[in-house]
Amino acid sequence: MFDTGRVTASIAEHDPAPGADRRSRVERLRALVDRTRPVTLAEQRVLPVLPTLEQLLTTGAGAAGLRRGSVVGVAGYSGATTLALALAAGPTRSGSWAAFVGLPELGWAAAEELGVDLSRVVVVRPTASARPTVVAALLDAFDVVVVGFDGAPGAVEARRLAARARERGSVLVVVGGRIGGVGRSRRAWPTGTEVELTVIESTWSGLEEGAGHLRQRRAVVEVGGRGGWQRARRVELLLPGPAGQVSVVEERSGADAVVTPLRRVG
Amino acid sequence: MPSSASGPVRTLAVWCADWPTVAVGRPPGKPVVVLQANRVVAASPGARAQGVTPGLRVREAQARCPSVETHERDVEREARAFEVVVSALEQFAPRIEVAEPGRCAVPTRGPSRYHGGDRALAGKVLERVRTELAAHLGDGRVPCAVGVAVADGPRAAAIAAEEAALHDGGRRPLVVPRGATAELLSGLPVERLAGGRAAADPALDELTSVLRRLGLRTVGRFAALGRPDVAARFGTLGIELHRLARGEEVEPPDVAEPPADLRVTAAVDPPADRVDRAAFIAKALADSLHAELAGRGLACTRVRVTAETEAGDRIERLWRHEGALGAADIAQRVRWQLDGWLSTGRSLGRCTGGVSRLELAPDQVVADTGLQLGFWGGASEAGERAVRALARVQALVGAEAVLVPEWQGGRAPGEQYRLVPFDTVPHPTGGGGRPRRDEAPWPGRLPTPAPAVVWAAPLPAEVVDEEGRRVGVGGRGTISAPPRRCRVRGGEWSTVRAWAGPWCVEERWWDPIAHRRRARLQVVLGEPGAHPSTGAAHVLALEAGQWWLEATYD
Repeated sequence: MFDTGRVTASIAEHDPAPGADRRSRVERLRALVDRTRPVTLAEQRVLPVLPTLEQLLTTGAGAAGLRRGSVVGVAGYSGATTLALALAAGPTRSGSWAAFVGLPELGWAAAEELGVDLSRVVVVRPTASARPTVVAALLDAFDVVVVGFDGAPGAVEARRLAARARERGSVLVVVGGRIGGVGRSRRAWPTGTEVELTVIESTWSGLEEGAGHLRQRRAVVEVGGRGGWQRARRVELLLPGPAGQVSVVEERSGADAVVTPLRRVG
Repeated sequence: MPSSASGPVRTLAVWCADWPTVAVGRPPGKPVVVLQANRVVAASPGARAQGVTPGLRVREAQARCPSVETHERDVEREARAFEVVVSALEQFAPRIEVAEPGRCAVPTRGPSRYHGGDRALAGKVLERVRTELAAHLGDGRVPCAVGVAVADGPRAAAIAAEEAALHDGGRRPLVVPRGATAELLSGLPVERLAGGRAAADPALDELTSVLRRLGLRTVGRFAALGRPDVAARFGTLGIELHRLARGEEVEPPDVAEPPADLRVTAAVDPPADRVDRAAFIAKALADSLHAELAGRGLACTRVRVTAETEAGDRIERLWRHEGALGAADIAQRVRWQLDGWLSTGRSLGRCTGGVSRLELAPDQVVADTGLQLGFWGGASEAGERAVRALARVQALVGAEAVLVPEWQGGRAPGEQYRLVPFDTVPHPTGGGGRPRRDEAPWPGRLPTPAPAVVWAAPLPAEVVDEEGRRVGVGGRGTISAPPRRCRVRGGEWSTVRAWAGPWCVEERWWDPIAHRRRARLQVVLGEPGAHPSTGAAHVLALEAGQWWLEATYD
């Protein structure tokens, strides 16, 4: 039998050309590796998001996604949490880790349906006094940190965290929103954020008079934010769609299933 | 240097047990552990006596021994302290090969002839190392078990040295006669063939665990297999281990003599007294050496680092690595060497003045077959970074405040996943070993989509119909009247724009204490004073006559 120890595929063995030609081949192979590597390249500095959300986060230069080093604010009367979870789905699916701080009420089944990879998710519950240090420590190593503030962050803390995120190339997602007007409210970021996503309309469908069940929500998201590279615009989405995922709105005709209510028969 | 023709090189290896704890410098009787990413990597004899072994999590170690002292791993400190051992060996042989702080090896052909045989040499080395350790790192007592062994081949010698330290407490050197290496190794468990590399090399770890699961628990049984079978089943790595198990260790066949002109030198002017200045220059040197090698398609597995001071003192050391040495690895080893020399060497009187010249030469090269981190290197590297940061965060907030979601299955919204402490989950760096979501039907569960907000403490609510009477759900799951208005926790009344249900769940009807009957409704509540199309969807649950707001589809 062959001694497999001696059968190695290597440039040195199989390439008969000497010296300079081999070096140029090695250079070309290395350039190829750099081009085909799927992790984020330093030049682009963008974390990938779900395809449906790319229309929310296009930069002028054509790359769509969460720009590294930025602070993203998510707000709205209803739908902010789903949108924040959907933003975290793209990065976790492509290998980044996400940390969630100060959001004790997150529904993880919904997160899984939206596409978040729960094997790369960590939840941290610091006390209010430890929160700035903890978020700063998390920004060092995690690509995405999603924070909900129940006490309003001071301007100094906000500036420090934004600077930390910019320096480390992490994305800080600040989840605001009124959660349908119940429960405790989340405070907003004191200064403007680079990207501001607000859910301004949210219409659920699927419920009839006692029949059916919630199927999908048609939401209109307004995209704003400072920085000039984001044009203010409005995008319509299904947030979530019938299977729990974010999707584009299909044409009206026939999309809503007609639900026949049940009738009592004795 | 190429030894594949002449058989394995007789080598003397020195192995110091739990070197990280020795480098910390506490008395050996005290329980001390060294941690990396919240796992124990080394434990002092005092800690081992209490049952603390490497591989445990820090909380388990503290449970077994509450008075244990924990230290974070510092490889620089270990390298600096190991200079004591290496300088003790230098009077026996000129070229000492260091694999990592704690393990080093010396080819014995010249030295043992000079000192009167393998056994005499090993005895003298052991004596000397123990004296030096006791004098410099142990306050008069030898701080750890030191194993010295001579065998055929550097890896076999390292395994034998480990065996000598573990088996005998390192009191006597273990000299394996030429050709008897296989016999020594045959009784050992098969994991020892990895020789300490298993932590760094997952393929090796995998292979030894496969061997154990196949029933080949000892090295002897593995060695008894036929080489063609091992080659067919396990490939190159298996062949390498099989040769080692049979005592026929050879250098990998693609190892070559490095080209003679591949040597980089730098003059340090003015001479560097402190490590960081010299290390800065060393990093530039390492980068240029690596670029030279890479340009020729080679990678270095053993590098010779030479440093000279202005007074003429010279230190030369071989650093060996199992995989290929990258530029950062070479720079790190130069830093270790200089650190050890400038601090410990100076105290031993062997180094005067500053470093004035640095030279790096590759001693053994292999063809460069690929990237080191794994081809799509990003994923595991991000995981390692995350785990290290979480160790820091756990120190800040406590282990109970760092959690991960784990699937457990259930009917109520929010029951399907629970949060468990991060360090109770196996394989925290992504994937493998955690319960997966299954598609079993759970009668009474609300259909997808799931609510994004689940209130940990459900909020009390009131739900009334047209006439203002409380809405109830009868025994057969029929609702008393359609709900029209709802208010949560005594707030403003909102209109119910749409509703569906009830979903009835009766849990544990056989258990009088845990018996629960709940009925759930999905409702869309209008925002008071807003456009009729804007509404928030919620899950309301009725239990024992009281309505609760359980979840919100935020």
